[in-house]
Amino acid sequence: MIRIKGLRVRYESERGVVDAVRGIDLAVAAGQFYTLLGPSGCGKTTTLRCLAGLETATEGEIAIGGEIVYSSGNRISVPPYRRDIGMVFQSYAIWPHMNVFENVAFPLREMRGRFSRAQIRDKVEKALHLVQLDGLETRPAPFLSGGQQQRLALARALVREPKVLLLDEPLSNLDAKLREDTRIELRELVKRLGITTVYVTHDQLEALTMSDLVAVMEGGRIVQEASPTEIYRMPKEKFVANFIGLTNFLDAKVIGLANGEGLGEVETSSGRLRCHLPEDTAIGDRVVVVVRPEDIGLSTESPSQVNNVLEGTVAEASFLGDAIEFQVAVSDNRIRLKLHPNTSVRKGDAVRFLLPAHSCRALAS
Amino acid sequence: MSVATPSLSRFQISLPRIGVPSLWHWIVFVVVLLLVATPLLFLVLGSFSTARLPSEFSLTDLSLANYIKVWSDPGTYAVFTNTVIFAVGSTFVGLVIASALAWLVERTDLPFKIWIYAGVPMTLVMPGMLQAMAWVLLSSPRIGFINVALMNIFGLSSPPFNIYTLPGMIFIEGLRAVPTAFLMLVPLLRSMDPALEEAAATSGARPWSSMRKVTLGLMLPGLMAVMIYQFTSVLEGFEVPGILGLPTGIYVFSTKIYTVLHSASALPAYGEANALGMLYVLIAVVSTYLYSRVIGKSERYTIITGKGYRPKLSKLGFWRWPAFILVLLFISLSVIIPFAVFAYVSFLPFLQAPSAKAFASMSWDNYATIMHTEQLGHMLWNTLIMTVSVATGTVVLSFLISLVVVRSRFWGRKILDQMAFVPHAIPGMVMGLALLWIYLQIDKLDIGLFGSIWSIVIAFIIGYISYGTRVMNAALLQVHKDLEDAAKMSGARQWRVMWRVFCPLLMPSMTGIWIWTILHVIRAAGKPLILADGSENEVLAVVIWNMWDQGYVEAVGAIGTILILVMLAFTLLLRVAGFGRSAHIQGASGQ
Repeated sequence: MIRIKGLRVRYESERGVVDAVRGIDLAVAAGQFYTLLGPSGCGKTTTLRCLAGLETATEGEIAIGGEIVYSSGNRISVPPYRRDIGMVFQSYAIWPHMNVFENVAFPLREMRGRFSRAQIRDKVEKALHLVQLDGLETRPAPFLSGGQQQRLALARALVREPKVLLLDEPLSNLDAKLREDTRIELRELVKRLGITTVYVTHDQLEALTMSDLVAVMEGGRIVQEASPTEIYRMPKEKFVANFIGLTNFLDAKVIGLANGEGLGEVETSSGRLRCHLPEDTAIGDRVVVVVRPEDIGLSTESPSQVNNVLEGTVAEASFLGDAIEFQVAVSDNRIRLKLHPNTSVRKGDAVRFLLPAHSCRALAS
Repeated sequence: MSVATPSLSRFQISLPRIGVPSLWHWIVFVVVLLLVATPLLFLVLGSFSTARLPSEFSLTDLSLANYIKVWSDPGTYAVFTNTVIFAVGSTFVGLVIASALAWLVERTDLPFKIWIYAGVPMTLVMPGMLQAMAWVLLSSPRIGFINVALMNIFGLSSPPFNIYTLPGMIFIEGLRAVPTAFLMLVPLLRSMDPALEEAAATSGARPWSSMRKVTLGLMLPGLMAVMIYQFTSVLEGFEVPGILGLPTGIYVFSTKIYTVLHSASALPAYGEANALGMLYVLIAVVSTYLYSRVIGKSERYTIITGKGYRPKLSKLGFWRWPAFILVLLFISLSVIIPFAVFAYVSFLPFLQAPSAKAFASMSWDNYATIMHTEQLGHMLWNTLIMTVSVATGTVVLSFLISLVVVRSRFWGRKILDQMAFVPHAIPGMVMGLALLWIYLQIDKLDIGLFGSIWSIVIAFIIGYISYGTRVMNAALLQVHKDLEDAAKMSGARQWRVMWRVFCPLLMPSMTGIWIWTILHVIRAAGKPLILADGSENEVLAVVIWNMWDQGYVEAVGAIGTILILVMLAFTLLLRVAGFGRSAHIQGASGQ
């Protein structure tokens, strides 16, 4: 449904030339929920705005539903009003001078003459029903709550039944509880309508829970594109591992290449570990071993050369409600691990713990 | 689903090409360039021209003769000194009063604040020309009511006040500067986050020290901007120095240029007038540069400060009522007293100081006389057409300019912004002079622009886009970019976005600019005096000026009284209509 090829955006600002997007290729299949995830300034919003036509790229090609809407080579740039898309903005952008009905009817009225008054009324009511805002038609837009404004913005984006829905951090202005509910509702809604969705966020939880496919961006490039599970379980780069979830990083040197199970051996300052190695690794390479705190468990075995058990002293313990997070000092490293709250481990205890080899991934540093 | 190959998509080029959307940006740019740069070009060329009349202008007769003549005259330096004293003095007086008022209204527990907040801008209703005339009636040495009264009571041998002096001019022009400065200062004070001041307090700063180091420090760029703006406003003022300075030969540049052109004894010396006007061009360039630098700085500051705070109010305590009385005094001096004087004079058969006899002789005769003046209907019609055209033109042009300046990535948006500001620093008199040269050249094509109402309309619009774009820029910055983008995403074209989103959201600002322009156009005499030709093109301000000049003081009183009342009613009406409806819009669009 969407295909972007070699997209580059460069513009001049007061601080000189900015390369907001430096070559992005992506493809979104029909009906897919695709998320661009990254820290602020990574180029995710710029990419979305190029897709919408609100910003003109410097280079590249964008196609929506088979139609080329932007191509630097062929000097094509379809204006936003001729693109078959709906968009929800971070600020919702509800027009304060119109009431709820008029806000939703606006896109239909802009199609000049395509719909009769009755049809417009009908479509607006359907759209409002979809987002559960029935009965609020005559309410002036500024008198809506934040959650209602967010849903109104969604209704406005959907009322034309566009092929593609673009969402620019639509949940970031809601409070925590409401955000949680809306996450699920929003995904259910777009899946039910079968609409292709591109979602921009800096919130990893939103990306992981809602998407079919996540693209993690950094510095104007896509660093990794994969399903949420893969992104979390198998980050390809240190940046991805660091950005998504809490992770332990251990500097290491490769001392043994992959065996039959696909596990190699590395030497860290806290001891030797067996772990997955990146492709094309040679003995002696510097790597970073990544392991999630929740994958680590207590062990009764004694540390040896090959069993991935380490020993250390608990330096910090913080109660998180559903878990306790410990920081264990092992030589000069601090390793975080998450345990069930009813554990008997206390601050200052000496503990042994296991880093399961299949949960440890070495990444090129 | 897939991207077509380049060879295939060459057939799809019915789609708009890159760059076309900026076509209207170019149109706006060129129009402003023509409106602003061409008069200035002719002003420069004309200053070197030795031709006797602008219509005889040719590029071959250029020399420095005008400059030598003008700048070798010691009188010019006296004019220069007067102008500097006048401008600095009036700016100072205006700014001090306006700052005090703004602070009292925004940050203290002054009583009846809402009324004062509404009342101070209302003083704009009083035209400077009429204000000056009223104060002549009150304190001229010969007939001034105050002088006469004080001399009678205390048996003085000479009048204590003389309004026909530089201090007199500074006093009146200073009063006139107050409402605009007030309107610029209030938002400045309001947008300041009190947390910034509280942070100073919790860092151990005493109230006075936190006010000086934080409040004043944060406001300084804004204050500087207001100061430069006011300074150039005063420089361009013609009516007050015209009424008060011309009779006694105290010239500032704008009145000097008028005299050079309207000398009774000699042909108008256009070239010399231009050579004098060049000084203004210089000042304009410098102040525009300074203004844009200062504004850039103050906008950087605004990013830090927030909005929607409820500042803590200072308790005035004992000074609450004395402060209120001082505010009333200001409003009396700038509106109530001048209006009372006009109303009084308008009923008199001949000018005389207030007495029982004077009140007994009052009648409606003066009103009856002006109603039966032959040209009245025509003159009012001219004035109406002119003011409405100027106000509407200014709003539309300012809106378009600001859209390009604030919302586009058009390469020339900064230049456009500065071009729009330049005319503010060019006095109406000088701009009128510059346009005269152009109109006379255009007239060779037999278009008939010269001397007509439309020639004045164009001159006024050029002058007011600087104010219009300042207000519009600020208002546009308040409208969240997403509101515009959301309309585009809903399938609206550029002009539909303007019509359905910007126009309604900016209606309060547009109405504000419209009223402001009307109030200023109707009273400005400088440009019409120099550009209008023939009695069929006369407008109200010129008629008042001429009647005053010829000594029909009572008739001026009648016209002035009506004018002030009409303007007051008009302002109130539009305030109610324009601002009431959109209060909640303003509140909501800032989120």
